[in-house]
Amino acid sequence: MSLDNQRGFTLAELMVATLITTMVLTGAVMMTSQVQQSFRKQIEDAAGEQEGRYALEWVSRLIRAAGNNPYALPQPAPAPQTSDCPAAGTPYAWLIIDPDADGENSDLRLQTDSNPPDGALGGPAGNCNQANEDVTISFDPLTNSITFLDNNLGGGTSTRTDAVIENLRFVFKNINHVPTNNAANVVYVETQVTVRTRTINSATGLPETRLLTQEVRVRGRNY
Amino acid sequence: MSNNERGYTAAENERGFTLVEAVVAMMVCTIGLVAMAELMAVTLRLQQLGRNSTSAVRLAQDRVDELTTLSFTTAPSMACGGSITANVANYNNTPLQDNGTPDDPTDDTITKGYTLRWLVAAGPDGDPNLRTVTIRVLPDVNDRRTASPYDLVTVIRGTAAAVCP
Repeated sequence: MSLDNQRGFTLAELMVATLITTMVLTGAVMMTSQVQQSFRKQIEDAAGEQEGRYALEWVSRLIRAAGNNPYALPQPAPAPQTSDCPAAGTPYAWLIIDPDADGENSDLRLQTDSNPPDGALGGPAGNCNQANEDVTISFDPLTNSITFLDNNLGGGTSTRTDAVIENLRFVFKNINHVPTNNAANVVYVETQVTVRTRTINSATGLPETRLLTQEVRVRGRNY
Repeated sequence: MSNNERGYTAAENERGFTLVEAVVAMMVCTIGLVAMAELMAVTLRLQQLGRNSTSAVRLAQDRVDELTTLSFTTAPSMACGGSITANVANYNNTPLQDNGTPDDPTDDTITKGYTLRWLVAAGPDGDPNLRTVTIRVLPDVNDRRTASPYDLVTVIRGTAAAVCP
């Protein structure tokens, strides 16, 4: 008797209910995945940004110190003169633009007399064997990282960043901030690091990139 | 029979939620969800704000790098004066994004999105060889995602004939 009175849902009611449930669930799932995506993007962004900032930091520090020459070692300009660095009879070149000569300013070589205690560039005469006094910084497109080579210590290049560097470029500028590729006129060096995050931009299908720049004055140089 | 009777009356007494109860429950849920969504938005905005702030700090540091080379007596950009509230000639600058090609006329046309102003004032303790420089970095776009103006104050050493007024 009572079972007769319990009529349950009709098919139409059930279908409407299912439809509503589906719509609500779909919305919730979409929102969740959206939130999840932006959360991941944020983390990847921050990681890439951090790597780029770190690279700018150490590269800028080396550039600022380049050409430090308290013992007045002969410099190449105006007429080429020789010193004991990097080898006996060569000019002391505080900045060598594009050392790998590929036409891209994605690398540079810096020399400086910074290491105590002897004060001589690169240590004893004829030797250029102290750490951080003759370094090459370059971009490695194969591993998407920035590499560092201490020409005095040898041992090959070492990778200094995570594999998130899309590009590295140095812009050399004269006293009026006009770009120049003449090392003798360079006063400011702008380091441009493009970092690549591991998230894909859905519009372009390419990884998101971000450009970080810092322009430093070469403090150590006499001019 | 008595069992059926009980079941019947029990079903009759199970009244379910009223509309008011359901509306209140939905409102509570909505408030919670909106708060979560808002939290996400705030987090994203703060992240962008942090990123823009670090860009601004780098630009301010670049400016300090440049100002430290200048003579107190001959360089107009390090003479006493300037302002951080208005653009004053010799005391403001719009950093440009170089594409790295020397002598390229299309270069130097894109700005980095910030304007810099600075104020040169007397240094601490009335020392004529010190000057206090306040650098303000203003984002060109001023919405909630960009940092508010960023100020960097530093003391620069040089040689001066006179203390700033």
